[in-house]
Amino acid sequence: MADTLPSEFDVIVIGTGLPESIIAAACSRSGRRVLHVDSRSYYGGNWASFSFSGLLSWLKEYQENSDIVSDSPVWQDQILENEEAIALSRKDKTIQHVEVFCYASQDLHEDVEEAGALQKNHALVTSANSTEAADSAFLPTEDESLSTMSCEMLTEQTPSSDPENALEVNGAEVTGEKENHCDDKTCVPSTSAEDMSENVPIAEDTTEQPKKNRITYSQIIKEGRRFNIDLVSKLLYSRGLLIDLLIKSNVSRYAEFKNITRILAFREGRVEQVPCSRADVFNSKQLTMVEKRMLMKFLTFCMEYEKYPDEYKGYEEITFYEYLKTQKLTPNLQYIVMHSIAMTSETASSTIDGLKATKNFLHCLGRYGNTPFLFPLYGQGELPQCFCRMCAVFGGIYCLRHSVQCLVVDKESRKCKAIIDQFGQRIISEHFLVEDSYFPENMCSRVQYRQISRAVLITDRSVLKTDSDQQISILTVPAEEPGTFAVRVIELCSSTMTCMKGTYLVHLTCTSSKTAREDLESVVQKLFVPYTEMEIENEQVEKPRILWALYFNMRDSSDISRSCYNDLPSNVYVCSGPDCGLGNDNAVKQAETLFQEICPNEDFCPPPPNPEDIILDGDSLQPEASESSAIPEANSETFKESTNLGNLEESSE
Amino acid sequence: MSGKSLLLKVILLGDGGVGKSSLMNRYVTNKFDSQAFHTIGVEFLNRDLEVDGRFVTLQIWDTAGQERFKSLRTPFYRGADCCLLTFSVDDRQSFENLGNWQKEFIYYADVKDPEHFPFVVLGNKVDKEDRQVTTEEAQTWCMENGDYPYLETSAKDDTNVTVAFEEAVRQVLAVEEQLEHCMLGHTIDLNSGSKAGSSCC
Repeated sequence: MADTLPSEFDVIVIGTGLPESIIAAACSRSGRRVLHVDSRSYYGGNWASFSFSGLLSWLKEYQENSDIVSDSPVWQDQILENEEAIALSRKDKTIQHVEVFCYASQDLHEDVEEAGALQKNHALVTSANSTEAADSAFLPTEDESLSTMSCEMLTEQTPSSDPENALEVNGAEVTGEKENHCDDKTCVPSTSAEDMSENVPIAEDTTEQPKKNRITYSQIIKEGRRFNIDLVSKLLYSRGLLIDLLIKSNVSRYAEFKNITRILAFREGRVEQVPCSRADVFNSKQLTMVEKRMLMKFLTFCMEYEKYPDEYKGYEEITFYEYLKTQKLTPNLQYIVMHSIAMTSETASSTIDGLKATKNFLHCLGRYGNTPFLFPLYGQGELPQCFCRMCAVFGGIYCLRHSVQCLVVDKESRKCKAIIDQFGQRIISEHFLVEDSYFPENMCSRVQYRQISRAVLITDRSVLKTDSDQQISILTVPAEEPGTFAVRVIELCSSTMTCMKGTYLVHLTCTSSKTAREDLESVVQKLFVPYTEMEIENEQVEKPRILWALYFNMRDSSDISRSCYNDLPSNVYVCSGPDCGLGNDNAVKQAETLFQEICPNEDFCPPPPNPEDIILDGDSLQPEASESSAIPEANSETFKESTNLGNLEESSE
Repeated sequence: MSGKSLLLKVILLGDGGVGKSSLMNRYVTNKFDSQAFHTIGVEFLNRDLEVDGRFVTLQIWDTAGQERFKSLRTPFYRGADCCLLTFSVDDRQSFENLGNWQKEFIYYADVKDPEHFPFVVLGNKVDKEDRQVTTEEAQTWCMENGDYPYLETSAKDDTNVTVAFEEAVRQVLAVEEQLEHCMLGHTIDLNSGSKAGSSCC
């Protein structure tokens, strides 16, 4: 049976990114009737994470997106005389300049599918077809194999690299690589005619290397479910707003985290580990004893800088970078503080900004581990889903693959009254939260978006070899030229559940100045080499080898005033996509701000009531259960009483 | 009672309207409400039981209605020890959808060994007269798809409800010895106390 939606809610949320999902949970928790929809088949929007084939489907979706022919709107009939409509966008234009490079060797003639795949094209948006929705609860399985689809996807890529960059790339890649011409069966990225023949050489010798197993593209496809590839790459500060919220709301029950184990730096062509805790500083072999004392003294000052304004008051007008030079730190220490601890811009950050960032870094040390950061198991894309789950528990209704055709605005009051969904159902609500990418172009014509440059790499080893092969690392590469930006590198091992064993998943992020590949490729070339047949024999190669690479630009719609959106009704609120920052404070702040506008003076995501506060009636209680043992971490919250319960009522609040 | 209790996460999975919440409520609170939807704010209910000498706390998770519009994902699925695939004997479509729910579970729960995961199939609402799925059909499906135990239940009549959950426990205990433990290393649960780490000061 096909359920129909109620026709009236208190809050309708469109888009399932992190801010939207937090607000939905908070409103539901405050007793509002919430409808939460997303036109995609997955949670998260640009905050999502995908298996490998899910990511390929996402890429294909963006190719097909441009071909959508908008049919004439059927909702016009439903607009009354005193109403007007805001047609929502059917195309997502937040992703641009997508380029894919596959370096892993291809096994010919092998028709490989991701093991355990739920369905083909899992991430693709289905067309708005009421018959389909009525007839089946699930997407139909397509006969097309993933391998074929992957080939089609890759060959469709037509990145607009200019000849100079193409030459530079070819020059780098030709080294140590023999030329092979591809035949029609080969699955290759079509960056350019020259790149096609060089990026994916075919091994004539098909026997496996005796010393070391080669990682092939088909292995990546087959193990694709081991990958959870985030579109946006972030970490959680251990005392940041998102951790605080997860704990307060008890949404943390759904998630587990890993410590970031290392802070790395790239200097003079080498990757080094940065000591940041007191113990690490004094155990470091890279710092002299004098340097250790200098660093500790400076960091101790940073922890309490507000108490000593005389120490920095004279330097407030200069950058933090310039300020560090005045503090009797060696160039080595200046670099460590600037790029591995404060992680702020050399040119744009003031002294106060730098001191604040350094203090925050130190404040987050030691809460959970030796670095300030945590990473969610299975990727950042889990977190919006966790908040959505909380919303559903408190009554929120969830519809993925559900488009909203338009908002209905009352001409007299200039307020939004309702939405009309893909089935033509009119749904009334008092408040509407809409993620930025859903707004039509004419509403955003005055918005000046920034862009984020992103790269995702699958590599065969870590950038810094240590005893443990399960390291999670963050590394910042400073900007080299004026007008460019520092690149943040996050390297994830397989125990984060984001990549298959024997590989690392590497995310690169910076503010865009050009296309993602133009912005990030020089850093990629410093740290990694393409995976080629020839170099398999060479054990001297220290750099990790890239098996697969993806570049794209993502819109940054954070920190945009609502006055920039044309004719925005007063009860329609904009949620932004991900920002470029490392932490998640922007998203949490936005969610709380918007929540206060919808539910003034109410508590933001209070914890669910404790079981013992629940008023019981009816059957008599049985004796208390003995203490549980072997509690799975994912279900760490348990009721202290698990006897027969009567009707559950929340205590008066 | 003596001995520590094993905590098991059990999920009820199937089409909306087959009676999952009613089964849970019948088992934990021994009440039936034909208008039952999931109780607002209650995500799971616990019940202690003893099966074959083992003391177990069952943590039974409700879908919270997310299955109605095909929006269940990993926060519900992950960490489940047993899955009760549920259909209604008076709703043929809910029976036809069992395979899809099973696949979805295996995918989102990230099950390491799907062939040995403990599934139990429940045919609910056997109190109804207009039956659309025969016992033989259901048993055949169970045999063909993994040799799963099949029980016919009625939350309304309290038929086989306790037996169903006890069977779930038996299935988990039977595979307990074979459970491979994923080498995740140390993970952090924000609900636990902070790990004491070294600090700068």
